[in-house]
Amino acid sequence: MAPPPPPVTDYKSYPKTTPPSVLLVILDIHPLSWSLLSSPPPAIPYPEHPAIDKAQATPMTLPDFVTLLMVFLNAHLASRWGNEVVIYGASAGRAKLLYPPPPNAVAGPSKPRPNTYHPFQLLDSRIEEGLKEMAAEEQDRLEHGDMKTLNQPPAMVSALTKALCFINRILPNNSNSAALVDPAATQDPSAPASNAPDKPETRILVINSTPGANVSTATSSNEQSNAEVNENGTSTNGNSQNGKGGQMRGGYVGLMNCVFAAQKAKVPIDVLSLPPPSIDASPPIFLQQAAHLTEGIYWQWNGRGGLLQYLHALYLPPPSLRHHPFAVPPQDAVGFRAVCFCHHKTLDIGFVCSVCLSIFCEPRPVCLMCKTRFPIKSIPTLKTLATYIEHIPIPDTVPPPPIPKGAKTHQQNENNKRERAKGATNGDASGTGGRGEPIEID
Amino acid sequence: MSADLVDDDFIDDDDIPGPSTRGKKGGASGSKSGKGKDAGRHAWEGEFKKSWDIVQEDEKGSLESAVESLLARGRRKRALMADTPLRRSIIRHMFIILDLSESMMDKDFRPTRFEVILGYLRSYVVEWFDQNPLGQIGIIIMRDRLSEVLVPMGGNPQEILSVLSDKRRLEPSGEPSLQNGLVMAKGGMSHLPTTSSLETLIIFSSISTADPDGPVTIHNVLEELVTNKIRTTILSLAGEIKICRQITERTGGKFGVSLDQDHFKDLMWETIPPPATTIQSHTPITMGVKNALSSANGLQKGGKTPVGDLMVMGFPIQLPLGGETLCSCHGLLKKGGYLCPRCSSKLCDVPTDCEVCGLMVVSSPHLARSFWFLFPVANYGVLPIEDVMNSSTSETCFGCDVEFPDASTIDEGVAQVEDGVSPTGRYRCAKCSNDFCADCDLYIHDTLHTCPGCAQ
Repeated sequence: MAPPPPPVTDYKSYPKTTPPSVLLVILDIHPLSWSLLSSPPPAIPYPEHPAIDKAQATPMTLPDFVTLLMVFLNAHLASRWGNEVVIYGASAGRAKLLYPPPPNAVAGPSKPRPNTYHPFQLLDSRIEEGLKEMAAEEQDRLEHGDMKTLNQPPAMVSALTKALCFINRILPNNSNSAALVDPAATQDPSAPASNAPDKPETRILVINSTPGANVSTATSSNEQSNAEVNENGTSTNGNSQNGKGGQMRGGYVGLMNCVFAAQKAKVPIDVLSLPPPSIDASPPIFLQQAAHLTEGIYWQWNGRGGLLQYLHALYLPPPSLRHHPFAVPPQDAVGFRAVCFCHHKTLDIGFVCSVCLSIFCEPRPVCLMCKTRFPIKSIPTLKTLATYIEHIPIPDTVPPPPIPKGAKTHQQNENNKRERAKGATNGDASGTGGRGEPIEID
Repeated sequence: MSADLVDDDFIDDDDIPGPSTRGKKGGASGSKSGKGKDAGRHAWEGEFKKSWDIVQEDEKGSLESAVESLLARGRRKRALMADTPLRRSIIRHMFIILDLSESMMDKDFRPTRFEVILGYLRSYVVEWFDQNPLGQIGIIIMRDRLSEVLVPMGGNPQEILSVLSDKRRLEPSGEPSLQNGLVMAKGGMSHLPTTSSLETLIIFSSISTADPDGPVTIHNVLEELVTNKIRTTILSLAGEIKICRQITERTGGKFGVSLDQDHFKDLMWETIPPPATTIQSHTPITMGVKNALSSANGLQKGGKTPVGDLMVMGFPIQLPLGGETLCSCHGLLKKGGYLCPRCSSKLCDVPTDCEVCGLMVVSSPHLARSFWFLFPVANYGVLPIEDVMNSSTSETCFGCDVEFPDASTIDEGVAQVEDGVSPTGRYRCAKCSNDFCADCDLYIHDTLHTCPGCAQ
């Protein structure tokens, strides 16, 4: 992990100390997603890189992953005195604080183990407890026939809002009003000691396990079928511009609001997306947008093990050390797509009300949000303008490994504009071929 | 002299007279000032209003309750805010030209004009970006007869705010040059398509301008502004100046002279909503903003309410800083950039109209910045103490998981709902009936705009 030794002059620019860092983890523990992850399909062959290709697809169960996560969190606690961990669990349609425990809970495990650093043991046992509680609640919901809520996508937005509220509380005077309110409210067990020289750094790590661009909070039931279609059919419909169900207005708007609040508080939202490309060809674009906009790190697991190393290498350094002396992984291209308000489709091209800026997927005579009437005669024009829109595959932009010469012949085209050297692995050929423009497929 | 003194905020209602009689005349004609209502009554004749009278200690001598009632006032204001009609604009580009001549150190605004204007500018920028999510702002300063781009045109309010908070960089000195400032603004916007709304807002504190000697005069610059369709609004702190009025009238902007601080704020805030004549009812906006704005420019200022239309917008793919590729807008090799979703050509920056297919390409987060306005968070009601005692409620705040004060320890006598402040420290969401603490209540309504409970 250590970078090559930099020139001597650079040492002066390294920060001598960093403030303590608070890591807020949002763990997606949706049962359906984890059942998918525990029995992954065989990995997509990766002929460009034989070493990676040799690795087998690794099944990943929730207990296995939690073990890895605990190691990572202990490393975070150990790396600086004063570091804190906060964990939220996001399950189907609900989010809950797992750690630190509520103040009225029984403190600590029954008997301390002599060979374990006590804070580690506290953390580990409490996470385990919290997860078991949440699993029991899920079981309870299942038995009481509450099937509708069980199929909802994980409540990422709710967890994010909770995390941001938490950050707002532990960071004094990040807004003038919050400082006014109640000085007593800021004395909090997890807040840093008041004599700390500067306020703690905070960051949010979202661990997504749900395939598809699913960041929705489910408040409408018609999304469930979509989500399931998504799980089964993503390998084939990755190219349709509205194929990714599961998002909806509330989730998209809520997520975006979270992103802007995080931007304001300068909190990076890191995203680790677990579903490998073999399960899900499309990245969770809205989480990716969130990471991009808040200058967090987005990384998708390739499904071939090595998760603990990823966690440590990418997500352990606090934001102040990330770019210097460490380095962030090259970030992929980000699709700035949006979700329409009428059918909750993901759009490349949408119709936007000029008055209230709400987004629709088709021309309509009256704006749903602000009730503005649009001139009817312009609708046919709009319709023709919106045709011939095909989904453009997100170009793969992590510099590709050296490819044999023969595969590069397509580069004589004007594709300087497009870096899609191996973007076609996602099976985007069918949709893009329609306009007769040169589409290159490896 | 005007109603401003009576009804506005509780701060800084000092009895400052209008700077000059010329100033008052300009102010009255330049804006909707309420001078006519209260003619003859001057600020110094009004009753002296003490800002500290508003804050009163409670019986224990603590200021806590006073602070809380101030917060409650804020809550009420917020509730009123939600009723304003939805009105959003399309692409705006604005240069704020700030006069940093020595006259900015005048003390007719307390403590100085400079401090007051900087404070207003900071909140102005935030408010402007909230209402104009697709807009961009740059800042130019004029001092020592030179002009300097302080912040280049950009869409990030944080960047502008951080520059504006650095007072040492902004030390006023010398005389301003209106001509240099305008030329700089024109140059800074020359690369922008004339299809977007180009504007400058000049905050002018001096009563003269020291322009360069030479063949080009400010009148030539004015002609260029008119041909480039740069709408110029000038707010003067001192008095009416003929050239300023001429500039604003020719370019379709507004000219205003401030009577006092509050009036100046009003004048500034009037420029936040997008210009009303950008959209004409009978021209459907089909491709981009080109048609709309080009036709609107010939439109006279009328009281017609803008009629909306659907716009086709594309949401691009942002390329990372990989290799260099040619962009379609400048034809230069550049790293990064955006792909038009319809024709896949690479654009340098968004929002813009695609050079190849004419699609309006915007980044969806730009649009999303205003969505909180469309989906407001339900107001949190005060939870009276009986409800806490009677029902089994959660022990912790649903947002930040802080523990609520124990209901049994709250003194029954004090515990009455007053001014929207909850005696139990709990605020309940009307939609999802979860309880929140006061911190989270403010944070959720002011910043986050998403209720953690309703998001489940």
